Amino acid sequence: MGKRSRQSANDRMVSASELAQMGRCERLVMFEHRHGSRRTAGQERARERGLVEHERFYREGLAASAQAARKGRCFIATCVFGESWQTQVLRQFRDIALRRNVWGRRVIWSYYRLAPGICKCLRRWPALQAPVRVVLGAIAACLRWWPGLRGGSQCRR
Amino acid sequence: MSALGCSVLGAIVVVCLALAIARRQSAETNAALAERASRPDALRDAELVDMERLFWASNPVGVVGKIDRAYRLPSGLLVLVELKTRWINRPFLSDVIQLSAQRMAVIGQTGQSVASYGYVLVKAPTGRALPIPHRVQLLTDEHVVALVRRREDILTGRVLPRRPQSRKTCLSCAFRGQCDRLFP
Repeated sequence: MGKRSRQSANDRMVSASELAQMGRCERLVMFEHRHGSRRTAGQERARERGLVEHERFYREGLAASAQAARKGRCFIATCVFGESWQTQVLRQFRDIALRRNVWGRRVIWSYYRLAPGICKCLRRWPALQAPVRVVLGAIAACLRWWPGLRGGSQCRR
Repeated sequence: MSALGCSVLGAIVVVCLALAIARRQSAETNAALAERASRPDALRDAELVDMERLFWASNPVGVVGKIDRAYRLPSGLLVLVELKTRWINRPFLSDVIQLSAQRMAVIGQTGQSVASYGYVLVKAPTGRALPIPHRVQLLTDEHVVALVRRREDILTGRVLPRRPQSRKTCLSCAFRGQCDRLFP
């Protein structure tokens, strides 16, 4: 037995990909543990192709996240509260309650069309922010105790 | 003349800058569209919340997993997605094990609810191919723990490793010679 195999297996974490090898071939798991990873030329090429594709997959995900972050912002709440619990609650309400049905999605769509204009007004006349803050704060406080949101998921970070 | 030259040069610079910005935005939009296109239908309304992130759990066994993507459904449930690049367009048992171990790590670290199913996106190794999603039922935590224990038993020599279900696996194995000698 090699040095690595003498080490207690309990001492170390097993990675998901190492464990996945068990589904491929248990003997391969044993050999790789004894002699380290060994690949044929074809496997090496496939691995490199996989890394390139993963990199592309990651970049696509980043671009989609950035776009969603731009689109999915709780415009007015962010404008008057910044990143606060009220904003989080309102986002949760959007994601958990509104997004589930067609009418809710229409409300979101209409909101996204109107909200940037309202935000411009709020920035231009900051005095308007106080009443909006009171109204939205009250709504957020009520929603916070709504059973549908309690124990729900975390919002977009 | 020199003023005219400066104006033309300035105009060229502005046009080039505008083109560069448009190109960059177009590349970003294309990448975002590609992400949309690669999503399974069931994740149409889901939100992409994590990418290439490492999770680990130490109880009941030590498992660490790096997820490719995690989507959050409107119900709050997380769904894990794993990308595989290969010619054979189907998920393998190893993919299911990998996703199941990742699920265990995510639950162990964050306590969030993770779906008992996941998606394996199989992409042919050509530049233009779109990944094809396959929904897979994940193993339970008990199965994953049993698998980790069996792996430990194999590594410590307490049990003999089984041969692969398909002999095709052996054809591309770098340890084939040694394996044939050790397990005739």
